[in-house]
Amino acid sequence: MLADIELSQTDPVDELSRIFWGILTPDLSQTEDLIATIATTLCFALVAICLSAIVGLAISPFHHLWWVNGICTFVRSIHELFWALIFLQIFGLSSLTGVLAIALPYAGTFARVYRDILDQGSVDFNQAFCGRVSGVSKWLYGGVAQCWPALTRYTRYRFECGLRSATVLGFIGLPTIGYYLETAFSQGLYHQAGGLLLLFYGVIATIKYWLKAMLIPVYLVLAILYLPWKLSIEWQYIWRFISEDIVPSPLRSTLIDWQEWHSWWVDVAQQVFNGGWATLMLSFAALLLSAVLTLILWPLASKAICRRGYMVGHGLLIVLRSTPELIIAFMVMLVIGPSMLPAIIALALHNSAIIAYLLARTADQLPLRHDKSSGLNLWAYELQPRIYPSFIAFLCYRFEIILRESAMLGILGVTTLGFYIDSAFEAMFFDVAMMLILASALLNMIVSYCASRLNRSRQLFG
Amino acid sequence: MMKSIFFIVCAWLLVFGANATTFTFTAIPDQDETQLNTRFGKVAEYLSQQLNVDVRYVPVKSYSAAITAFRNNQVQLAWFGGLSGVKARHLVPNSVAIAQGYEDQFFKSYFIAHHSTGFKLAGQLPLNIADSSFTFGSKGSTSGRLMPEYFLRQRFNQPPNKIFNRVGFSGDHSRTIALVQSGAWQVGVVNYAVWEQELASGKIDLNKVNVIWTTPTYPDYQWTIRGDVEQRFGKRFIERVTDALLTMDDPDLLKSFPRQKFVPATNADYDSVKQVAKAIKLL
Repeated sequence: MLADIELSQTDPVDELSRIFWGILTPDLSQTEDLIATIATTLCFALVAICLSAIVGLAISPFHHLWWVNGICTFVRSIHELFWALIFLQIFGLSSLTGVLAIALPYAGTFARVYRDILDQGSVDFNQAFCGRVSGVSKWLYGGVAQCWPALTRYTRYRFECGLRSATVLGFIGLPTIGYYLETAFSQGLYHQAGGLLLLFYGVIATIKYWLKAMLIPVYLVLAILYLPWKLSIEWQYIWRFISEDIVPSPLRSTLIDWQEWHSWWVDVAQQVFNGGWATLMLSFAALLLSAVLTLILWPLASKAICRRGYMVGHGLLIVLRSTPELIIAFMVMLVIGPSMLPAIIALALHNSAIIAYLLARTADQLPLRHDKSSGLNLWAYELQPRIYPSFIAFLCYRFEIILRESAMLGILGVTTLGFYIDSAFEAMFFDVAMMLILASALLNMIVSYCASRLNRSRQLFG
Repeated sequence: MMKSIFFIVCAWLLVFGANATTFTFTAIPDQDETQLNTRFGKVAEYLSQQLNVDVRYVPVKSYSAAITAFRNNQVQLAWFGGLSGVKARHLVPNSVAIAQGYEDQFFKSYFIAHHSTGFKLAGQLPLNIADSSFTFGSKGSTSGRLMPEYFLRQRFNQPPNKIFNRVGFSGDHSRTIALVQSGAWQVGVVNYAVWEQELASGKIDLNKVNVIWTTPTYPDYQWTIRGDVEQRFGKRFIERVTDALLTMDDPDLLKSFPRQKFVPATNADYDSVKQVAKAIKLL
């Protein structure tokens, strides 16, 4: 095992008991602008998801073109937080920054997943058309209409992801719930942090009761009206960003100092190799653990297997997937000390809860025979084998997310690519940040290419 | 044609017309980041009275976001840390440091260690802290990163990741204390004011975590203003803002920073910080 998984002796009891006591006795009276904060979080997520779903759907027919695929992979391999930092340079702290930071990578994801969903739909519809039918009509009435339930189900799930992303944007200062959560948490105000977390779980758990298809246009209009759109696009900042900030610093002056140019590259290359290696180690380990945890977790939230008890599993999954990884990693680190291990555990818990939720939903929609077995047998001999393809597909989707989420865990002293990107942004070295982002996008593309090749050969031989 | 002219005029109005007369500032205090709006809203009110212009406070959380807002003229005045101020003035020509906290003239950091390491308070940074695990605060912090890293390099002649077996960034002074106190990290470094404040409020157990070395002093937080404000708010505006800050004596307002009062400062006061930032490639 090459990964860095050292354990160290700690005495975490005091701090952990403070955290749990805080969550048990939540207190939101000290939080200012609570309602506005929740409203902003919801609005960011809603506007961004609508925008990205439309764009993603429009792109999906062209997703097989290598360059469309490349652009999509590129935009989604950059963490929302880094997109936000980039847009911050251009649009400042405005609503546009928040919305675009979520919408752009999400559009890339939508394009890919919509395409996969449409491809999985029946192909017979092409024969159902007679006469001259345009490609657009075929796609719309044959493909989209047929897969509509799957498409909306996925979009609804992404809305939940959008809420999480909007929350995370608070970490850099956009006024979402994460803004206060991060403050409360890092300052050890666990009563407030606990209150905010419980509130967030509540919002996520009740989505299905208030997010009705008919109401979405109304919500959307309200959201757009609510967000402050002080649109002041200043072209000089955009131009400065392109022509100055992201140009490697030794090239900015007219007299190029080759010595400096050389050392700039050495520095960047070192970060790319160190970071790339650590990122791969961490991501593969987290993926493996996610797979194992998913197998254990999904049956807990399945109606077919746990019957009434599924609500408990469902609640557990909401808690696991809605708690920011940073907080899980912090708590694990208190117990076992800093290394890659808390990062692996945090990423695995978070992602397995998401995959488990999706799998349980898939499993509960499968038609079952009347003489089906129950409990453990139903799980092991019928449902698990039947949903195995989805299981692998979801794991592959989440892998690229694990890859970029590893950026958030610099607190553990694990120097992933994301750690270096974050450092470069913090030091305002956008030239270095851009190079590292390109490197991580490339890594992501290589991994997803290998995954799709692997998938194809598995289909051929299996 | 008419349409595009109309569009350009509208865009121009949106860009330059909006809030042309609002003076905006931001502040990231080194401790207690709660209720920023309420606390600094009062400071905005005070400045508004003193300056006779509309003053607004924008909450920003990260140092880089604050610098960006200052650079893009979204805020004209900012309460920066030593390093972020140097960076901001580097990016915005003609911007000046006008005032610093009284405490900021001789700021310092504490190196702290978990009791299991056995390190004791010493006049010099103990050489045997090498090979333990070590956490800084936030990556862009002066007291939690820049100056401690400088002193470490001076003492060991090596970058931190070569000195220690593991180096982390807790992201926040309070979190550094919590992490070293729990033993998750063996050694850490914090802003002295945050340590004193947490000690007073009983969050620190001295049987578990202790100060092992106090750094030499260095200048830290300061108010920095953009040079071009006088074009918008009139002649002598920088002087008026400086006066308003230096004469601020309401303890309730000063508590937000928290500083006992503000004293004059210049860009040159931060030359030492600038040299250090250049030396360890953070500028």
